[in-house]
Parts: sequence; structure tokens; C-alpha cells
Amino acid sequence: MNEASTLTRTNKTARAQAVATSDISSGSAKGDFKWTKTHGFFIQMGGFMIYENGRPKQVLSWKKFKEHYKAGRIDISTYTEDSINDHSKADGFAKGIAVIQTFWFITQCVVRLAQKDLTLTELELATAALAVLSLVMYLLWWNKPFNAQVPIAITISQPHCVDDHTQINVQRNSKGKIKFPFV
Amino acid sequence: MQSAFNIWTDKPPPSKMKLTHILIRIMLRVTETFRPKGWVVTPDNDPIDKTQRPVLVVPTFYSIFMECPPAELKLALSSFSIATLFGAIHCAGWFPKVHFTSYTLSLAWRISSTVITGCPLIWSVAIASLYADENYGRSGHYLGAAFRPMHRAFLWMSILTMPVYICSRILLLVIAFVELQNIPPGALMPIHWATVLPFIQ
Repeated sequence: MNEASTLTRTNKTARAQAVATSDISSGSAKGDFKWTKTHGFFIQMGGFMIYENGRPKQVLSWKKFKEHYKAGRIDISTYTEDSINDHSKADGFAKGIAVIQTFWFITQCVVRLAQKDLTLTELELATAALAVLSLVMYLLWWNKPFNAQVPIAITISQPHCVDDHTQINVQRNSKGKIKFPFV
Repeated sequence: MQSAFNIWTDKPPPSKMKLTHILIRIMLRVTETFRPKGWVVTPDNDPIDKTQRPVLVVPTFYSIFMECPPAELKLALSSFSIATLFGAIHCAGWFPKVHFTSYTLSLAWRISSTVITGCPLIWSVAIASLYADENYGRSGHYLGAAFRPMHRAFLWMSILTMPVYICSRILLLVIAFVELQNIPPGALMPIHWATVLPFIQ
């Protein structure tokens, strides 16, 4: 009976893992989920938080994320790009206005340099250089969620625990001491 | 269609970080006391995973270590090219349109702007030649042997140019504010856009 339950659990685990793995490989066939640059920014911002018993436990790092994901312990299929962007306080419109304003300042500086009767001060020149830097920054960080305050809760399913127990079972079986942890 | 993510995750774990640039090491040592925690992440000191107590907020300057030398090279080269662009804009001070109160200040601006344009180029060559030496230095190609002395030379040039770069940046900022004491009338005039845009006047 105990053996059977263990077997069932292992089987379920294996299936869960298989499902998760197949989800990864057929992610595009499923249509919705795609790992995007936004996900990359968000995980780097500490936007994915591991929750345990309903409480935040630890920021999910990229390394740990890869480990858990490969083992099929994390289901991220619902965390689409849109659901991450929902945490952002600035959309393309707000960022676009900032870019246009910066671009307008740079245009004015160029015109001042080009026109005969106008001059450009050194402070304007230095500021224009910084403005160009911020333009580049805006383009590079276009997909970065802005001012996200609340992390996305990730719960880690625990198939690996069952696996550990089955391993213990097998070892003890080979030694002849049969003890089942699940009574 | 396989997404890029699959390619990453199916990769075997990286054996060892190859692009450990001595320059970066020195910079790390120098800035060790000043830099905020978690600014530069190496596989050995990821501030999220390597602490005893759980981390609930990522450090301010936290970034993921990329585990991929070509990507690190790409990052370094693109950063330095942006820095070059930044310096090149300062070089507009070479135009006679930009007025300086004295010849000394004009000369200082010209030298400093040249320095901050040139230094990132030297650093790019240093990083690129280091990468070339680590990956193709022992390939047997006759160019391979040239990479090591090249990267040594450019490494030392990089280390020597760094304080010069810092001084130049500070000098440029100071000059920009000092020049406000004497603003030419042309700087206060508004732009007449009708004369700027072609075919309108």
C-alpha cells in the first residue's frame, strides 16, 4: 500500500515534470507564453518572489529560476508579458513623451550650433551629451517595467521532496532495511 | 519553433567564467570600498543567493551575471561606444561657434573632450584584445601570438588613462559652469524656426 502510494506520487511527479517540460518545448504551439526581454528585466529587478505558506520567502534569482524551471517546479505559463507590464507605472505613451522632450532639447542645441546669429553655451553642450545618453537609456530600457512595487508571487511545487523520499526508500531496500516514510 | 529560452536552459552549465579581465579586477579592488553592495555580480558573490538570511529586495545596482563571454564582450563594447558618443558630442566645443572667455579654457575644453572621446576607444581595444587572446591566442594562427602583447599594452594604457579620464570629466563640468559668467548675446536669443526650416521663409 505504501509502496503503491509512493509509486503513484513518483508517477505523478514524473508526469508533472513531463507536462512542464512539454510545456516548455511546445510553448509556442500553446500560443500565449513567450520569454521576453520584459521577463529578463523583471527577474533582474527581483520581481519574482518565492512565496511559502502565503508569505514572501526569497527573491527568485536567475540561477535558481533556471534550476527550478528545468526541474519542472515552477509554472510560469500564466506570467505573460502583459501581466508583468501590469506592474509598470509607465507605458509606451509616457516613455514616448519623455523621449520626444529629450529629442526636442537636442534639436534645439543642434539648431543653435548651426544658425549664424545664435551660439551654444558649454553648459548646453554638456547637457545635450547627457540628453543623448538618456535617449540611449530610454531605448535600451524601453521594455523595463517602471516603478514596480509588488513582486509576482511564485510558489515552488515540491515534487523533489517526493523524489528524495523514493531515493531513500530504494537505498534502504537495497540494504534490506525496509522503512517507509509514508505511513 | 524553439524559443531562445530553450536554447539557454538546455545548455550545459558553463564550465568557468573565461572573461575575467584583470582591468575589471583592479577596478573592483579599487572601488571595493566605494561601490554599493551587489553592483558587480560574479558567480562567486551573487548577493541574492549567497547570503545567510533571505533577501526580499534586490540591491540597487544589482545585475545578473551573464555567464557568457561573448555577451560580456558585447556589453563592454556597446557601453564604451556610447561613452565615445558622449565624448564626441563634447567635441562640438572645437567649433568656433562655442565661445570661451579665454584661450586657456578653450584649450582645456578641447583637450578634455578629446580625452573623453579617446579613452573609451582604448578601453574597447583592451577588452577586445583580451577576448581575442583568451579565445584565439593559442589557435596556432600567426595573428594569435600578437593578441597577448597587444592586450598587455592596451591594458596598461587603460589603467593609465583612467585617472586622466576622470579628471577630464570633472574639468568639463567645471568649465561648463564657469563659462556661465560670460554669456554671449547669441545664447540668449530665441530660435526663429521660420529661418531654420528649409523652404518656408
